[in-house]
Amino acid sequence: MRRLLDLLRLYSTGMRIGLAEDLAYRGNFLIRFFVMFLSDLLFPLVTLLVYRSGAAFPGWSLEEVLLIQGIFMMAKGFANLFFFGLVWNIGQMVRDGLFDLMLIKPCSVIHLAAATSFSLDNSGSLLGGLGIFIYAVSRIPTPGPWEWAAFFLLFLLSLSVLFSFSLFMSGTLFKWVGNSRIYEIFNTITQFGLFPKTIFSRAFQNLLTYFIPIAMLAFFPAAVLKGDKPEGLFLSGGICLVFLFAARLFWYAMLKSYSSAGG
Amino acid sequence: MGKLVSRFFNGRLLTAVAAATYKEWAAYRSHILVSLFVGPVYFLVQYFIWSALFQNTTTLKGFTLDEMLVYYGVTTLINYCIMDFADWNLQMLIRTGRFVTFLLRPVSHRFFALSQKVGHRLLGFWLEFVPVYLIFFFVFRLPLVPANLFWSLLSLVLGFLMMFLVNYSIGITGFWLVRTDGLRSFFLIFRDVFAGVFVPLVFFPGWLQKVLFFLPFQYISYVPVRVFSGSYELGGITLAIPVIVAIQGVYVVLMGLVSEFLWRLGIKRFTGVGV
Repeated sequence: MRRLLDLLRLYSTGMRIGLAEDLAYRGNFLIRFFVMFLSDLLFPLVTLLVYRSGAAFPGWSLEEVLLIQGIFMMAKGFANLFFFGLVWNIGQMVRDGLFDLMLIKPCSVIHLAAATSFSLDNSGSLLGGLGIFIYAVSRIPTPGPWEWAAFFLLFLLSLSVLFSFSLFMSGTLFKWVGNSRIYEIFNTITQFGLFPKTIFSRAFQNLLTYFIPIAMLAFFPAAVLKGDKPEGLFLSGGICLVFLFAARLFWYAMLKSYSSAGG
Repeated sequence: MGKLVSRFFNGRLLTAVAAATYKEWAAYRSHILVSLFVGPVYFLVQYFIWSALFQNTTTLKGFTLDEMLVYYGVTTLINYCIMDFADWNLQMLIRTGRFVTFLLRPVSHRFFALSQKVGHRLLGFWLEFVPVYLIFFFVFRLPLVPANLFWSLLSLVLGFLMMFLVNYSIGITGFWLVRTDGLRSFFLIFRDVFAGVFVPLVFFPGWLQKVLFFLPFQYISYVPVRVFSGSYELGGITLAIPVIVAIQGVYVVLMGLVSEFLWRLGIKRFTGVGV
């Protein structure tokens, strides 16, 4: 219980500092907020343009695809707001040789890096996702309480997958010092999660469900919300937990190779 | 006339700065080699998306499936040739005050930055363009052969210059704003969407296509891609390849003038704070 309270204090302090930093450059903050909002609307915009041209993913209406993309944006927006910044934080500190300071602090390095990376401008992404999500949900058959319950559970698993990715990425940066393109790799891999799983080949569907659970980012939560029982759902839920466990192991293994070679 | 040319072009400077940048970035080969993963995987996603979308139709907005895949393949490759970060570099120099050192040098910073881009992209050509081209050609079996090599190369060079001039102009905003990350990100999204990087511009509503015809963004990527495939159409306007390349050239000159104008306005505001 005390550990939980300490964590909450750590995150609330991190949020206060992050907010103060954002407000020091208010103009830039507002533009960044707006940009995050706009940039994440990119894929829904492309989907809209394509559907307007008369094309469609077989078996998926525009609203159903937007539902997947809205959930994807919400999950990423939430992650960006609360913990994904740890990748940038750790990468930067390793590069500058400041990571040693993190290691001597009397709390979890992962949580400290996540808490101090809070930035409110990332909430633009969360809000954009929420807007798309509300629009899409209002245009599909109304989900019942069980669908909503399953959705919230799967959304938590979606966040766990993103947290696992942040551990894999930040762990990699202990060795691959200063490589900012790690985000590009992440964005490219997770692009598969923006579209219905059924458009991919069988081999890729298995890969996205049972090996790297990208289908859990948005496809599975969207499917249960619209009343489907997609194949591989339960097993994929278990895989998400294994993925998280593996990410944590990987991170600590990589931490051992940290050589403190910076400034 | 010679003086005017030498003010905007200096062969020795270009070679020296490009060579230095090439060597500097060659130290970060693994950074650039990430493209060997990102490019093909991005294309793979597009392959699945468009294959699904074309299941019930043979053409979409005048594109067949094969033409659409070539569009995305060529867009990816062209981006390796024209990509730059002149905007980030310039605003960083202004913000940190390091820009002062450039004011003391007897060279134009814009030409210096362009020379850096030449060196950086030469390295990108070997490490990104060539391997990804081979992957597209042999693994995905994309027929990546330009309809006309001369016009394709010329359009690519103009796209290279246009990308630089647009980015450099965005970087100049650093003279007015202390932090430009937000504005830069905004322009970069705007630029890529309207350059046709994410979806061919013919998918936009008709009225917007007509507006886009007059904006500089299509000349960065959309025009070079269409020139590569040998036909150009936007907003109901169909033009012969030499004509659109000539218009692209005019727009590059206009963008150069815009960038010069912004530069003259901005430089007066530079205070060197942060040195």
